[in-house]
Amino acid sequence: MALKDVAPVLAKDFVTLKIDQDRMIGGNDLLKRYAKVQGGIPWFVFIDGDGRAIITSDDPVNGNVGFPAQDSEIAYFKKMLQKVAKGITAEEIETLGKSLVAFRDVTLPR
Amino acid sequence: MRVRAISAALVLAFGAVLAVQGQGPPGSRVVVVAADPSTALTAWKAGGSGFEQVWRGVPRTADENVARRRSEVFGSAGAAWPIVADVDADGSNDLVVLDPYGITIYGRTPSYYPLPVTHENAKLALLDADGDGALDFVTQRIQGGSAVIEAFRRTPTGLVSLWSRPLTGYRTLLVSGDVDGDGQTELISAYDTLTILKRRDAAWDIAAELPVAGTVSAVEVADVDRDGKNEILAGGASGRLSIFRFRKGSKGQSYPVAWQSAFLATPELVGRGGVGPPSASVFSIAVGDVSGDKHPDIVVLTSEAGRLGDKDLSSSRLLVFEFDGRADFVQKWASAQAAGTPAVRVQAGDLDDDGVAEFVAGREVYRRTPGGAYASGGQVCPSCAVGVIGSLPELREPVATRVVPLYWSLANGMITQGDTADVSFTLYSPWGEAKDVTVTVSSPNAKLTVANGVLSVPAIPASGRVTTPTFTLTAHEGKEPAQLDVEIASGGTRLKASRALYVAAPLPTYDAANLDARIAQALAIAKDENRRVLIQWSGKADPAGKALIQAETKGDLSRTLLYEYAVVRADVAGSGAIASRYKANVKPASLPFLTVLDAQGRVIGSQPASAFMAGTGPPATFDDKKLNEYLLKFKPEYVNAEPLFTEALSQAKKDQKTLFMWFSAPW
Repeated sequence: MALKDVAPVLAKDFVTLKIDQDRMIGGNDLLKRYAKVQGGIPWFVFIDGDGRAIITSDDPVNGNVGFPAQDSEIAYFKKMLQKVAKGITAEEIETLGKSLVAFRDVTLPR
Repeated sequence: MRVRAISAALVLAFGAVLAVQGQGPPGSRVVVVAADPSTALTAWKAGGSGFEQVWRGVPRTADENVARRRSEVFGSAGAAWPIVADVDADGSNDLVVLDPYGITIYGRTPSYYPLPVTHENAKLALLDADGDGALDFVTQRIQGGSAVIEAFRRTPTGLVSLWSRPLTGYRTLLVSGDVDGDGQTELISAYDTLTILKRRDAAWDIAAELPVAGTVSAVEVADVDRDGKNEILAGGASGRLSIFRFRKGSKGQSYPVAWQSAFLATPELVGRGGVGPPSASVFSIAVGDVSGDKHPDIVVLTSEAGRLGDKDLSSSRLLVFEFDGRADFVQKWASAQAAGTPAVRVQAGDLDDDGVAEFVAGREVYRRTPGGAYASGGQVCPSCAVGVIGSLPELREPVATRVVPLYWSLANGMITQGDTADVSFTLYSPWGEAKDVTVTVSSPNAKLTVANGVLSVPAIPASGRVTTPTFTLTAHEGKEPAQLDVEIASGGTRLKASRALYVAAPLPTYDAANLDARIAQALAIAKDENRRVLIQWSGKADPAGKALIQAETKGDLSRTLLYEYAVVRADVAGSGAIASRYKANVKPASLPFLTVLDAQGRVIGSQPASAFMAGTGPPATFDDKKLNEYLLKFKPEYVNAEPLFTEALSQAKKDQKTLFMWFSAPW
């Protein structure tokens, strides 16, 4: 998310907040408030200005996508972005998806 | 059902196409699903008051997590769905299933074919790839980020590769069908283009590249206008359904867009400004006579996103298009926005044998109502996603011996450069007892070396797991990919699989280069993540310094360093000025020396590491518990998450943005 090609795109629509579940007081409580099932971390949620969850990383079919790496996880992450994007374009979402594919292909063991 | 009524006539002209699409000789009319979370395939048949399960296959892996990570789960977008076709030409349809290690045919005469290479994220199509009149397997796998298409002929001893060709770029879809009306079946590979491959003599060439807007999520081949020739239906991120129709003219052959839908976003989202760009994606397409007018209809599953003021209009929707009898398709119905669990595939078929097709999205069955709309008329099964609809006989499991590697004991598939590990595999045999199993492990290059790589397992019980003896793996420096080749032999079957490994960097050492910058970077991390900075002063060749690093990999000490510290290992050679700035005693007798900084760079701890030695040595060894106690004294106070959340939420509201909150942990 801090990559130079990624951060400016996300900043168009999002205020980002990282919660360290293990090292922040109440971090786990905050997680439980939004995560309806325990699917592990990384876990993320898009929240509107009134504190309501718009969509979470819990893919209804496959569970928490975590760090999106598999095709189905990346597809769901793109779907999440499609749901919440206001200024981010469809092309930028595709580019973000491709960057996840590229990252996976060079880093993750299969 | 219309398709069934005209099937005899169409079989004469398009027998191969129809077989691949699942319309063939009669059998039990069933819905085939992937049950979640069991990962077993199940078949369901319409009964008097609902659906009854008529078959449940043996899970193709014994582990849910393993299955989820492979393309064996059918309930996800882009998955390799099963195919219904009479593959073995025995007069009865089969269910053909691709998984990373092989292709299974469930049917009257079931069989199993191991693939010669692993097929992660792969797709399958069936067609006559070599012109001998029999259906062959064609797979599309991703290799090095690009697609490779390979055709296989089935033989009594296994699969024989007929041809293989790479395609440019990433691909997510592979379908087959006669799209130019010449009686031969073509292949269509898609992602950010539609590529049509055609057999010319023994080779398969690209016949056409059809440009598409965005990326394609769904492709179907069907004769939607009943002119006797198939069209290509495609849709994706463009939010439009397009129909390409083959045209042969004086200037050559082409596939122009014959019809295109409007932008399929919810009407409220279209044409309203100031609410951000709406998006709509065509996720799945099904063709069938769902209206009962004896003409094919098109059912589209979309995924839409957008907001209108505070109103969230994101959803999945189903839309039905009917052919107007001339050249146009008219949208006759759209479902209400279906919030919640989105379906990923829609399929059409006559489930209740009343002559009119139903369509199934997710697990919901939709039927036409007397008023001309469509409504959900129940569910197929409580926890499943429908994969395919077709006429199938009683399905049987293969009796072939099949052994697949489920796990290895190498944590996260990682090994550290310079390390040696004893590794074993856990094997699974789904259909029957596998006897005299031999696993041979080797590496294709020098980055990994394998010792004792021939492992023997006397037997694996049916649906049972057995762990092999261990082999010894050592990781070395090298730029080549780290990969293990695994061959599993049992009886007459052999499975070859490749496993990629991540070779982690070797244990850290002490370095004088860019020391100021490295300390500054560590302080930035400490500030951002509420940690301390530990500077360890020593030398590359100092045995005590090496021993200290080894000790830091152990138990609670490694956790404390991971959780509470950003660590800088500084070589004292040439670093005297910086060391004196932090009042570190870097005389040889005092090494290794520890300096603890707070996030502002203030020294809050200063201590020779010799205080934590386990004995008098040599060799030097450290008491990791003592050192851990020392470092925990400087553990920062943890911050409260709630005020941070409140502040971020307030900022998001003020900036009219969305809060993207993610949870992680130091590990």
